[in-house]
Amino acid sequence: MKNSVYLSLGYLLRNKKMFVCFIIMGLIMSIIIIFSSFNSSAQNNIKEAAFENPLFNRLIAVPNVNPTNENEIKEMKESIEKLDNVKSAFRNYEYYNYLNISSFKTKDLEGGISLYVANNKTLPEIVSGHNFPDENGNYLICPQNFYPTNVDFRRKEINSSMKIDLENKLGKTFEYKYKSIKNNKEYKLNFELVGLYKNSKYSIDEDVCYTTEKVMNDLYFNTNDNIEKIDLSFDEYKSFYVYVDKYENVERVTENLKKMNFTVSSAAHIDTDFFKEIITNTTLFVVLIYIVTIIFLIVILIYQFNYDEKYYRLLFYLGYRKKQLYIMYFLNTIFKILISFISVFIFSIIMKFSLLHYLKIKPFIFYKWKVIINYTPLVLLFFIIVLISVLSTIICIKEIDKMEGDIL
Amino acid sequence: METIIKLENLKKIYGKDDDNILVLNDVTYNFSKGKFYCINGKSGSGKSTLIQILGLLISPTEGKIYIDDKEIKKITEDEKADIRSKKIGFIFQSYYLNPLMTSYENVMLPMYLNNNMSKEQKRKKAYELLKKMDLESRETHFPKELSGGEQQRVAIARALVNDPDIILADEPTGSLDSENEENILQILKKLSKQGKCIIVVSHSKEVKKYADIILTIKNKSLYEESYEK
Repeated sequence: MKNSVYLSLGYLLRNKKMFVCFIIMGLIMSIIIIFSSFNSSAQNNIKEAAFENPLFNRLIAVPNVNPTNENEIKEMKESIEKLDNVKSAFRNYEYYNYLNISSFKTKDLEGGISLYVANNKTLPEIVSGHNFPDENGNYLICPQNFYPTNVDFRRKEINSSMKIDLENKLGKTFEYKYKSIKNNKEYKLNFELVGLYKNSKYSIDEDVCYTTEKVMNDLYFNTNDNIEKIDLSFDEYKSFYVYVDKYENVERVTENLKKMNFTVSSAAHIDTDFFKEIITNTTLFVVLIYIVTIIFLIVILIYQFNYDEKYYRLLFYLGYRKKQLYIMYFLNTIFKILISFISVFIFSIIMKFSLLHYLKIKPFIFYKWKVIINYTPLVLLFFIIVLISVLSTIICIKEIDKMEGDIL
Repeated sequence: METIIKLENLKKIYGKDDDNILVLNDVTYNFSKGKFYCINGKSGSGKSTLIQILGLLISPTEGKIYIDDKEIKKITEDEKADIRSKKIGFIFQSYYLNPLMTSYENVMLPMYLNNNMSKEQKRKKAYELLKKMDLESRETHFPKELSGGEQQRVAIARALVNDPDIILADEPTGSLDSENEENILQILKKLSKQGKCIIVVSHSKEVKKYADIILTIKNKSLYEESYEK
C-alpha cells in the first residue's frame, strides 16, 4: 500500500501535464465560486436592500377628499392601520427630522442624525438593548455602526476610526437643544438611548435613528410654534406614511388604499427586475461553466486513461498484480481530486479574506453589500468530479482486467 | 543444460467460432538456462504471440507450458504476476521507461514488489546494475536526457533487477545504431553466459551472430534453424 501511494503520488506530482490540468480545474472552480458567490451575495443584498429595508415597504397615502377636522384624520389613520399587512401609519409631519446633537459631535463628525418616527411594530430588530419601553417616552434607537453625519456625501473622507461606539452609551440620556422659529424660544429634549440595531442588515444609513411619535410631535410643534391654525388641506397634515409588513404585500396594500379613496405613491422605489436579471444571467453562466467542466473532465480522463494505460501495462509486465494496479489507479484519481480541491479551497479562503479585508477599507465600510462565499456549487462540483472519476476508474479497472500481452 | 521453459504442443487461436485465426500450432520446445536464443520469422508469423505466451501475458488455446517444472495452466493470475516479477525480465524495442522517473527510479520500479529486500539493499542493487551498464553518472537523468543506447541499458538494468532466470526481448536493438546494437548484444550474451535464458525476437543479422540457437517460426510452428536445415 505504501509503495502504491508513493508510486501514484510521485507519478501524479511529476506529471507537468497534470499540473496544467490542476490549474485549469482550479480556475474553473474559482470561476464557479466567484460567480456563485456574486449570485448569492446579490440575492442576499436584494433581499436586504429591497425586502428588508423598511424604506421600500413604505407608502405615502394622501386622501383624495380633504378632511375637515383632526378627528376625521384620526379615523383615517385607524382605518388604514386596520388594513391587512399594514404595520402602522404615521402622519406626514411627524415622519422625519434632521437633528444636530452636540453629544454626538466629534472632531470629524458634526453629530447629525436622521431621525425617523417608529413604534415597536415598525422598529428594526434590536441587537443590543431593547425596544421603546413606552411608546410615549423620549427614547432613541440608533445603529450599531454609528456615524452621525451625512454619510452619503462624506463616504470618501470617513474611516472606521471615526465610528462612535454606542454600546457603552446604552441607557444614557442625551440632550438636544432647539429653538422655535417664531420667538427663538429654546427647548430641551432629553433622549434616552435604549437600543441599537444592525443597520447593514436592512441597508439603512449609519446616521438613521428612531424615536417615538411623541418626540416627533414635540419637535415639530415646538419648532413650528408660529402655526396659528393647521390647514388640513396641506399634504403635510392630511397624508400618511403607511408601513407595510413585507415588500411583496406593498402592491396589495396600495390597491386597498386606492379603494379607500387615497392617492398612493411609494416612499422609495427599487428596480428588482434589474437585479433578478443579473441573478438569472449569473446562474446561467454558472450552469454553462458546469457543462464546460464536465466536458473538460471527460476529455481529461479519456486523455489521462490513454496516457496512463501504457504505464499500467508496463507495471503489469513487470509483475504488478491487477489488484495493485486498481489500487494505484484509484489512488491516482483520489489524489487528483484532493489536490484540485485543496488548491481551490486555499484559493477561496484567501479570496474571502482578501475581499473581507478590502471591504473594511474606506469607503467600503458604508457599502452594506456583504460578500457571501458560496461553497454549494463547489460541493456539487465535487460530487460531479467524484462521480466521473469513479466511472473512469471502473472503466479503467475493466481495461486493466482485460490487460493481456499486447506488446508495448 | 537445465531446462527452464518447456512448451508442449502449444496452439494459439485468436477469435472465436468461425472467425478465428490459427497463429501457433503444435509448438513443442525446451528453453534452457545459459543459452541465447534468437527467434525469427516473417511478419505476422506469430513471434510476438510466442513471446507473450512465454512471458505469461496471454494463455495458449491448447498445450502446456512449464516454467521451472511448474505447469502454468494450474496457477492463478496472481501467481503468474509473481513469476513475471521474479523469474522474467522484459526488454522492449522502444525501451518503455517511465518518462517521469529517473534512470535510478525506473530500475527500482520492479523492486517495489520485492518484500524480501530492505530499502538499502534495493538501492544498492539498483546502483550496482546501473554501474554494470556504465550508467553510474546517469542515474539521476530522466529518459529524455539519455541516448537510445543508454535508455535500452536502463531497460536492461530494470529487467535484471529482480535477478530473473529468463530475459524476453522483443527487437531490443531495433531502434539502435550499429554501435549501440553491438553493445546491447554483448551485454545479453554476457548474461546468457552467467546462466540466464535469453530469448530475443529479432530480424537482425547481428542478433543471429550472437545467438547460441536460432529458432524460426514457420508454418505456425517453431523450428531450430539447424534442425530445419
